[in-house]
Amino acid sequence: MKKIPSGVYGLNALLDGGVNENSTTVVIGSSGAGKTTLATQYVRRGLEGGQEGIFVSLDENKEQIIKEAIEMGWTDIRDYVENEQLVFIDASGRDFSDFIKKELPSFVSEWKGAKARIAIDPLTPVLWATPDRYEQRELIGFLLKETRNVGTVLATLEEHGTAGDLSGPETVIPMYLADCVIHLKYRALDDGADRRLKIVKCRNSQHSERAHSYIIVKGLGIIVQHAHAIPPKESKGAEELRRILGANASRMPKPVMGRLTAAIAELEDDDLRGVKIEDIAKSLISEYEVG
Amino acid sequence: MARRVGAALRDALSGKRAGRPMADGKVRGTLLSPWRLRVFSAVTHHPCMGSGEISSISGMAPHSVRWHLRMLEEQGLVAPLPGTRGRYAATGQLRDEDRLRLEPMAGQGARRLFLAVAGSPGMTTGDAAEAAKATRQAAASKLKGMARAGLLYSVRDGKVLRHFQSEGMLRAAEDYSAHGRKYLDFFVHKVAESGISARASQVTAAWAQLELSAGRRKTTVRLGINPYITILKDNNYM
Repeated sequence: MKKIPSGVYGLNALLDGGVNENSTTVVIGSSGAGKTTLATQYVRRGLEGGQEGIFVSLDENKEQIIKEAIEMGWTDIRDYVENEQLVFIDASGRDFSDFIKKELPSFVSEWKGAKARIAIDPLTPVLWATPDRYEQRELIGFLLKETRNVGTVLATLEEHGTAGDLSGPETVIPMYLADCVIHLKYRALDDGADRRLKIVKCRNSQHSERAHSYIIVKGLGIIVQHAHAIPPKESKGAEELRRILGANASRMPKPVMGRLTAAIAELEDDDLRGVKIEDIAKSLISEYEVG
Repeated sequence: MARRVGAALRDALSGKRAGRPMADGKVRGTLLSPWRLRVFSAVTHHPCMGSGEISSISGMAPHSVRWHLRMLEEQGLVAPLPGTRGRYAATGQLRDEDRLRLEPMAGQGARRLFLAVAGSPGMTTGDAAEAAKATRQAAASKLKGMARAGLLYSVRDGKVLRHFQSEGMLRAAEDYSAHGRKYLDFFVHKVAESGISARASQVTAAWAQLELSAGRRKTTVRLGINPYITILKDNNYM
């Protein structure tokens, strides 16, 4: 099974090397958990490696996603859109489910073997296009099975109800059918937010079975910690990160290094509170390490 | 750059969002895509082409060409030729007699052979094969097909066959010109049904340059209106 980098800093190691190529991954999380950010990082990593990116948005429109991506440090996103290496598709859940039922097989037969990265954000409206559970399962099963043939798929799912409860029908069906399931647990606290990432399953991989803290950093996106709970370092986080990355500049492609340096230059120590700086540096380097 | 899967998926879904059924026989706005027009232009210039040849002429990926052909077929602008393996012609462009004449000319190799014989009357099969960079066996089969369609005739000269261009091709080119104009009108009306206006800015014996517009989107396409002349002139229309 070939692994491809996820683009989410620190996640590859937890997935036994990355996402399985031509597989389907479902990311479940409540509002604010970082699902769209994760999907954006995933697509972006593919584009940086020369793959084609398709972002099917069933919720927000293209401009809104681009705006958020730019805020997350993806300043050259419009260049990818302009030369059609990245294509945004905004469709309603009903349109998309009609497309799956009527046209997906012939579309896939035309484009079989393409190696695109496909993000579907969120998949939930497709499920809601039909109230019949059996039909929902058929539809999602068919979508995931077919789209694997044209690329590696990552779909997000809205988590409703009690935080951490994955037994609702909107989550159970895709979870069962996907190759890999990642749960972003998010809990808003009075003094910030508690974010944990757990890999529920990842076929053919020895993945982590623990919950890992993660943070969303402006300019970088999601950074996952490998250790379960790391006590906050008192300060100097951003400065330390700049120093470590500077010392390892030769290990990463120049454009990536330039982008990361610019993003980190904007950070303050507070942005990296509660994380182990060495872990972040290691994740950033290993995501892009040359050779 | 070759057309990509993402753009194709967007096109497929944009047709649905506009609320138009996929196979209603009308031309969708996506016809204005330059890649789709490139494929369509190729088919009108050289009917009976397959996706492989269109791909090599246009520089587009074969799977992308196949996708656009299928979309053009659903839009009612092209149709596969019955009894062939994936060869297409523009809807309304060929009469029965044209199909009989033009099928043996399908493929760049066949057209090279015809032009070699037209340029050097009395050429042997072996010489024609060499000139067209084809195997002798393939050349013999193709020349035989052209002779059956009345485009060439062959005369035995001892152990070899010598080939000559007949008047069939020239007569067909002349006879087709009125039908070519009719086809041009058919196309203009067909796209008008879907709100695309087409205006000819230049018309020659072999092709017509059309300016297409729908709302603020504008583009141009060169439509083949006499495939016989295109072949005779060895027209590099792309």
